[in-house]
Amino acid sequence: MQIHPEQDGSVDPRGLLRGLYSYADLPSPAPDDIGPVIEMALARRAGIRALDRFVQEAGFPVEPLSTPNWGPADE
Amino acid sequence: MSDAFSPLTGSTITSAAAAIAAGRLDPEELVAAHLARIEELNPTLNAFITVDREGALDAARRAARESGGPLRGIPIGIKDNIPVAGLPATQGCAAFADHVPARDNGVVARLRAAGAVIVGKTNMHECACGGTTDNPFYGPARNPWDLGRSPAGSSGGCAVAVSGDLLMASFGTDAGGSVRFPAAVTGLVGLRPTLGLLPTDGMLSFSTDTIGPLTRTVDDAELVFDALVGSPGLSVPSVRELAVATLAEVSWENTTTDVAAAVSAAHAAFAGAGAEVGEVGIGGFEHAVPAIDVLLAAETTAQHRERVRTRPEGYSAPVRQMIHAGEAIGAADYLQAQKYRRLLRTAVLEIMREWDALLLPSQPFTALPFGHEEAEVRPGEWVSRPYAMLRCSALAALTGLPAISVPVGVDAQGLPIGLQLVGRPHAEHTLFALARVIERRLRSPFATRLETATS
Repeated sequence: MQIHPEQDGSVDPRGLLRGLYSYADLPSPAPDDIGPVIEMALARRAGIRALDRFVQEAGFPVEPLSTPNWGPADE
Repeated sequence: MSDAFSPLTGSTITSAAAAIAAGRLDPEELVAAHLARIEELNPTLNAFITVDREGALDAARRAARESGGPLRGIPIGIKDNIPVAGLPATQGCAAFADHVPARDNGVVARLRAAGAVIVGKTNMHECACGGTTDNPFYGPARNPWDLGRSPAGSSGGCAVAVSGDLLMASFGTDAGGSVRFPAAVTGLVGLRPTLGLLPTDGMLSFSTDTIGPLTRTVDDAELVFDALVGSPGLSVPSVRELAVATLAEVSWENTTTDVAAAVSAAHAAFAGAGAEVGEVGIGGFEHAVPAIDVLLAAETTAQHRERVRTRPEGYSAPVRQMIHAGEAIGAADYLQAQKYRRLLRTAVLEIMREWDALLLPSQPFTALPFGHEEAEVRPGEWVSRPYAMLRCSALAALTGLPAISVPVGVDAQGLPIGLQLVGRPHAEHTLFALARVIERRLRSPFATRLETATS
């Protein structure tokens, strides 16, 4: 997986994303799409980080609601 | 557009169904009148992707011969991501243009069993991944209230067809607000039933997804809901015994003055009707938009990643890019979003021990002109359109609680405003009772039109 370290040693997120598509054999965005794709992916990171902190601070255990259908009417 | 009231196409399901049952109205005449209106206005409104004229007339003739069924002979439309046997289900996307399901979705089958006539498949936001119906392949659906404005989405064609009197009801899907947004900006009632109550078989559905009806009145919404679920006549407490709390975070921030005033008016209307009223907040609600965004984006990518590889030209650039961008959401990110749903549902159920329903806007602004990705909610105060809309819709989407959008008059520009009530699980009939208070006390546009036409 090719990553692109910045001069200060941090990871360039754009390079990381380009590497991700190659590493995971994902459908690679067309050249014209790659810029908007990376901007979109980066735009949601701050929200994801804050969400992650909130969930982790809620403590254990928190069961995911991945099959969230409501059961009988008296639930 | 033509806004002349016709007793045939401008009526309610409640009155048409009663007239058919009494032998005073011929289902074929009712359906033919709607088909004529579709022929006249759909070239302008672009509410439909497919109109099944012959199938609708055949079904109407059968309805005329047969008895029974609460929706006998009622012309209904289905969003183009819900399977109807033998009709294309394009998802509003060229990559699915040749997808023709062999079987009806369960809701469609129940509608047919109730006597409804399926007239066609309605226009939608491409792949249901957005809050407009500016469809790049089938053209934009236009809001009958102002043809230069969007009907929102993703079930925009459903709303345009009912608001423009091309259908008496339609069924859309709501994973993140896609029934409630279009209902709100076209003056309709839009119901998001309790998650899991209605089948989503055959759909590319999301974990937050449900099918829901759009109608002109609350009575019509209740009638079609009961026809599907089989719970007519369920007794609910009087409004005087109910308690409604305004959701503070969403009602006063990032909303237009007119929408905030409508929330206040509804709050006062409930108080006037004898309900207990109050205001509540939900801890951690600021994470609701990132959570629904992560879920919808990751699930969209999972649904479409193979097809975008083999048919990239079948998607518009924005949707294709959205599908690729979802690959960068990690499995742990997705799980955290699902855990957030659990936390939010627990918090909201605790609040709802005390309150029967939460009141908030369906949308923070009325219909926007085409192409507007930001909205000016107060002078000089601009908000991101998708973000501000999801703030209103995320509560019901994430928790799976039922919600109803009900029209509440118009803003200073004459455009409809919609308010939302979120209820306890399986408390749809309580929502209908409360929505009637708003409809009757705050002048729903269609209820007002019907009163005027019949007085």
